[in-house]
Amino acid sequence: MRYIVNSGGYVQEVSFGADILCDGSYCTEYTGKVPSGYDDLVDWFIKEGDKLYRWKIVEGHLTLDSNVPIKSEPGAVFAPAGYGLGDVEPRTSITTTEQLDACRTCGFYRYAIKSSYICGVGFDFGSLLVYPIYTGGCVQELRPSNSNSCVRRYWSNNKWSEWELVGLVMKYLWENVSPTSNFAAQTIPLDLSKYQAVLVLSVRSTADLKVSGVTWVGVGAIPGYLMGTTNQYAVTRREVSATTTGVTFSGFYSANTTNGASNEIPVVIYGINGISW
Amino acid sequence: MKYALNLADDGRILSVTYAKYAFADAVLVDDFPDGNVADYRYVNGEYVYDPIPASEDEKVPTDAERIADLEEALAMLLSGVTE
Repeated sequence: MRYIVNSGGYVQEVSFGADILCDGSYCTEYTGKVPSGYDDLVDWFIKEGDKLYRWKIVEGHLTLDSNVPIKSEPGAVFAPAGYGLGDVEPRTSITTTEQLDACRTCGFYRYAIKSSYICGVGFDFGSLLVYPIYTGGCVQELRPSNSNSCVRRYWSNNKWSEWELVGLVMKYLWENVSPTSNFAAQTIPLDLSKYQAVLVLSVRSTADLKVSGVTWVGVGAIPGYLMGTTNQYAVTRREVSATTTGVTFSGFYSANTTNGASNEIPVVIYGINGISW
Repeated sequence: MKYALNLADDGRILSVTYAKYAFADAVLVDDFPDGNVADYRYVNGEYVYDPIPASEDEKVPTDAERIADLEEALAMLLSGVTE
């Protein structure tokens, strides 16, 4: 195992088999003892890899500084080989020797990134996961703390590709728990500052709760419509628009008349990110 | 289970969601009225039954009424009349 420490002596990165570009930091082969309570260094890494910042190298040995508080780092768990590429849910830890060996073949490491700006998306804090993919080479994935997007780069021919924003992320933001109630014109306050668009599911009416409409509206873009039909000629609709502070619905219309609140009932709002074209 | 109310200025319930989706300063409650919540206002921590009178404008046209409207429009088009 090799490691990099910061100026305070705390571990920033560790590597098992992977080549770490040290970039001015100290990259050192670890020759100290296995910390007490762990089977070996890999066991230590699996259990403490998300809390490296609490570990110092003291006289060549890994030493826990229990005075350093544990940080919250959502979704930052180790990923087995080729598992769940592109998803955004927390991953399961390595549980089998086969999974661990698969990762060892390519090397793996992780570290926390405090502030980065990649692919036009700013990340306050995140985790870097490295794992091999079945087709060969490695993929490195940055999981930001907001879990709204992930970025990825690939290792081949002894170099990393550029970072790319991957995957379309949908996050469940709101649910109407009384869809049998009239839904008057209103704004649903939501923090949409980290989303590019919203997806709204709607039902035909308070008396017909089958989902009949799926409407995509860009945040800050022109309004869209929740649409319903009674036959191939007649359309009812409800205008919907999104800003960074919420989603606004009109009453529903039939022809050119505002007819009230009982049709085109929004039931779910998703936030969407990761759109590219 | 907690719920969050989206209220109009007069306390009229506009919609209800789970508390976990609530915005800051949302009104959180343990329960909400059965039936059409839009018939209620939430005033001083209590639900007041105050249904909005149904108006002709809120009536949803039937298929027969829509077809009749379309037939009338079609007849106008065929006769060369436009608005």
